[in-house]
Amino acid sequence: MSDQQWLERVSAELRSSAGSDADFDRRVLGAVRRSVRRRRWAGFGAGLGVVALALAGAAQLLRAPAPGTEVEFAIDLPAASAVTVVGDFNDWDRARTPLMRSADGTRWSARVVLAGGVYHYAFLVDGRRWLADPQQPFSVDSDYGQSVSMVTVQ
Amino acid sequence: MTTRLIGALIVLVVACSARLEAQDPRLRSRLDAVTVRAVDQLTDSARRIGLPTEPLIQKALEGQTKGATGDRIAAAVAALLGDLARARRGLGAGASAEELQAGVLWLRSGGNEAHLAQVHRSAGGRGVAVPVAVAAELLGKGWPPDEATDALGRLFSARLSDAGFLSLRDQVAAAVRDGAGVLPTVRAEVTRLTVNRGLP
Amino acid sequence: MRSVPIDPSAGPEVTRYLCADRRVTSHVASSDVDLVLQARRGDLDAFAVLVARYRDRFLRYARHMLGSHEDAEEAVQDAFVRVHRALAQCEPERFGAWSYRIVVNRCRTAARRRRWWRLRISGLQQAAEVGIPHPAAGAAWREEIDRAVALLTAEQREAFLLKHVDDLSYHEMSAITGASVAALKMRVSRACGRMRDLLGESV
Repeated sequence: MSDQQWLERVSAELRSSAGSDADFDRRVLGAVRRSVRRRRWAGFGAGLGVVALALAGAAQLLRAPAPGTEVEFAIDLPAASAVTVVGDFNDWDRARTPLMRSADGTRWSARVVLAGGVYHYAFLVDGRRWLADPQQPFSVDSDYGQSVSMVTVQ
Repeated sequence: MTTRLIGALIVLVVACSARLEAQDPRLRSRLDAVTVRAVDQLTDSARRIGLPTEPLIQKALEGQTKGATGDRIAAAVAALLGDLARARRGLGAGASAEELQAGVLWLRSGGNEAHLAQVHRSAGGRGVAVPVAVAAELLGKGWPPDEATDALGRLFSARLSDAGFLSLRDQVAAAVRDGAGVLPTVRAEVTRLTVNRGLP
Repeated sequence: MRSVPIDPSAGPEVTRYLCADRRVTSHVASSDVDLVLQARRGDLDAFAVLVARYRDRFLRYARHMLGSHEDAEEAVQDAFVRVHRALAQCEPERFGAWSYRIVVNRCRTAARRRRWWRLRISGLQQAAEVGIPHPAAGAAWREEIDRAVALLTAEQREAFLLKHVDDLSYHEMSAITGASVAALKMRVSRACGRMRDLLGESV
């Protein structure tokens, strides 16, 4: 096979990547709208100075995003059918950070970019069972009964 | 008359805006109205005295996700507000939100405000969020708070970086996973780090 | 909004674009220049058509650069937000190359931030030393190509994808990456050689 034919076959394979999911455009446009709103607030704040700071959320909206560190959350649960990580960094939302199952089916993992600070979290298995992170030897009792793990990000 | 009317309107607008800010939309969408009011009052108090509100909101959301009752959520948020205030008494008025959260961990792991004040003094202006959080984790595993406070002072003198503190924590965690005791490992690591000054 | 991807290189007359949102449909046959000008005036529907027009191409590039669908979506989403924010600085007739440059930059930043990717590369490096299995050995041929792409240096991977997956000219690539044509030719050539070594002769 000539170099050219070989290259065409490899390129064709790489071009056949799966496209985006149906929600991608909606997420992008949502992010664009939020960005537009932030810019409007920023302009408003600059114009009105101190008064703007007293208005809802302006101080927060003007704050520059903190640089992040990527943290991987992972747990071995071959028998589980769904695992999410739930904690201070995602408003304790059960659905926001699903873990992906590894190819061999045993390990679940997700990567999250976190700003510096201390975070509490736990894994939610199959929507009903809470687990502290077995990889983390340190956990604390939650005010709500189950132990939660902690991660400290620089 | 007109001037007074405009003045009143400005006050009203600012008050309404402040109220809107107080009612975090995440709380409104996930908690019942009574619990939202209770948590709102607590976050309002935090805001008035300059304490961070986000940990309080997260505490409330954690309770909602775990199916806790409104009373229990309000009690947990109130307890956290009290601990944030205690942490600030120890760490000083200039403590950051992250430092205060680490301070809360410290207080809940067996340390007290006096220890935090000593840590604050020995830090000499460096950020203490990571060191205090790491030490608090180890307090929870049996490191005596007096010894930990003293060790933090020595580690600050040895100019141990935040990365060094996290590495210390990882070393201890690895040793614990291998079956070693927490205390001997912590003591050996602190000695190594303070003798070999500045090396993580 | 449901849509069927379109080929960005196709002219308006052959554009296929099915969309449930009538406001967006009215923009579908517009040129990039018209859409950029409308989006600059605050028309988000016009920007939505630009997103639909370019997203598959950008996502494909980002996925190959970053090795993960999720990271690719995050990087491309971030790029579109920056594109929208900076539309005033864009020459409308050069929207495609200009926005691609922003995607390339976002991918570079994302790749630098991701330690896991370096770890994965080092794991794959070990695999490469013992030889990647021949495609005839299983149905994982596509996966082997992905691995071979992952084993290129970031600069080689970037150049290879722009040249042989996106079919761009070296001048277009230079505008997008900021590298010289000569450097890009060298990177593409080295990337092809490395890929061929890794994947073997017969495909």
